[in-house]
Amino acid sequence: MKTIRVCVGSSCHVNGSYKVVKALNQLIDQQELEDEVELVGSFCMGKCTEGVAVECDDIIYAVSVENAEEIFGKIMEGK
Amino acid sequence: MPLFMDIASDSVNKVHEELCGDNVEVRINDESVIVVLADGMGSGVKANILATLTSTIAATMLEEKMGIMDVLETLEATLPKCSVRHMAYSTFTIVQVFRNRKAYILEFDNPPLVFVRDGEIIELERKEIEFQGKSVYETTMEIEKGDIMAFFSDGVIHAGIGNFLNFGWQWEEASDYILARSYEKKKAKEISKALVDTCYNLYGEEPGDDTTVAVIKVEERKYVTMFSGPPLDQEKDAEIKRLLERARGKKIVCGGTAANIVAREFGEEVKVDFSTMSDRVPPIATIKGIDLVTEGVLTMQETIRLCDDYINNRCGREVFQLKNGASMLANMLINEATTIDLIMGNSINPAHQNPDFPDELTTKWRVTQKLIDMLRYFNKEVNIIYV
Repeated sequence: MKTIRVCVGSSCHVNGSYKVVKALNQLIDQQELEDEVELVGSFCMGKCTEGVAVECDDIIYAVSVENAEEIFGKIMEGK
Repeated sequence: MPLFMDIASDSVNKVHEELCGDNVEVRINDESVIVVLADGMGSGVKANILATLTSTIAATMLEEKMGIMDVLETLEATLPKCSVRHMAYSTFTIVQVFRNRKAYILEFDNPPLVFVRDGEIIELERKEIEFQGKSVYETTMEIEKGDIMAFFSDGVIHAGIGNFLNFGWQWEEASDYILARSYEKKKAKEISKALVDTCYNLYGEEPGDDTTVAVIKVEERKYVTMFSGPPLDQEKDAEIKRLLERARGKKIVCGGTAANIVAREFGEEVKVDFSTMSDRVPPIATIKGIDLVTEGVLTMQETIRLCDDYINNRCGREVFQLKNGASMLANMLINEATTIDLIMGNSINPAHQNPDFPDELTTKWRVTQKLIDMLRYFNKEVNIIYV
């Protein structure tokens, strides 16, 4: 079971965490990974300037709607 | 413990007038709460000046503990004489409630004050005072929890004249209307808004006179403590814990970093609730022991916008019932609190402002300031604690 944490602090929200959460949820749905991944929210991770901060296994990724699929793939490969 | 006065007022201007000829002046200090509603003769600029002068002079003099006779003499000597009617004239109602629950009511030519207690309109024991051939009515009494005092300019009881109702609706009808609203457990703001809106409709949306309502509702104090913005000095984080532990009433944490600090200090976890996420407002979170945890700037900004919509009649009570952080915050602050203790981190203390400050912190300061202004507009008591 993996836990992916998406930052929903002020700055990340402005950068589109709402859309990123939607996109990630969709990906999880499509690939039927509900039992393997848990998506949770988190307030500020201190990485405010690099896009929406998404953390998994202590690695923080800068995610946008455009690269969500790619990064999600990366995260899942590392399992 | 002294009771809290929930105060609100609303008005509509006479049709085609830019200024209101009525004015309400509210003064709140450690000793008493003073509300003065004055209705200047005529309408437009002249009436506005008469009403503003009257209410401001009366409120200021009472605040400075001058006798009522002095106030009346000053008003008489100060008000400019109306060139049409050759008299200085502004009707007024003054209500002063002291901390020891003594209320002092002074009425001059406005429709009588409506006093609701225990679900009934009670008759005041008015004492007549003569002043230069005019009668002023004085009442001294003790207030109780749940009392509602509503007073208004004559625009209210004339509403509908020659339009929907031949002779307007009378004082009895207006007071029954207020009584009915009191059964619905409404806040002062809702009562004053409802009454003014009804008058506006009775006038067929073209008010024949300035119409103003002021409402005071006596309530028990309800506290909320809100922590917003982390301290500049990280060593003070422990102090936040101490402050929150002995905080009064419900607890709100407003701000992502603030939430992280609280969770860490209390050894709890921040759990974000995605179901409250929307495009406009980041989701709320939960921390054990805290009643509401929201993100900071964006949520507060949206809260201010919602309240602004509510005040300006662009929408009704539903703004307090949405399923998002901003609406929940608005509801807690406006509907569930009379007194708000705001713990603000040093990092947004204006005394520490310098040009090198990051932009986002000054934004936060500005938004917080706007929120405080808005709470004061609702006549909430706001105490700020800097850490």
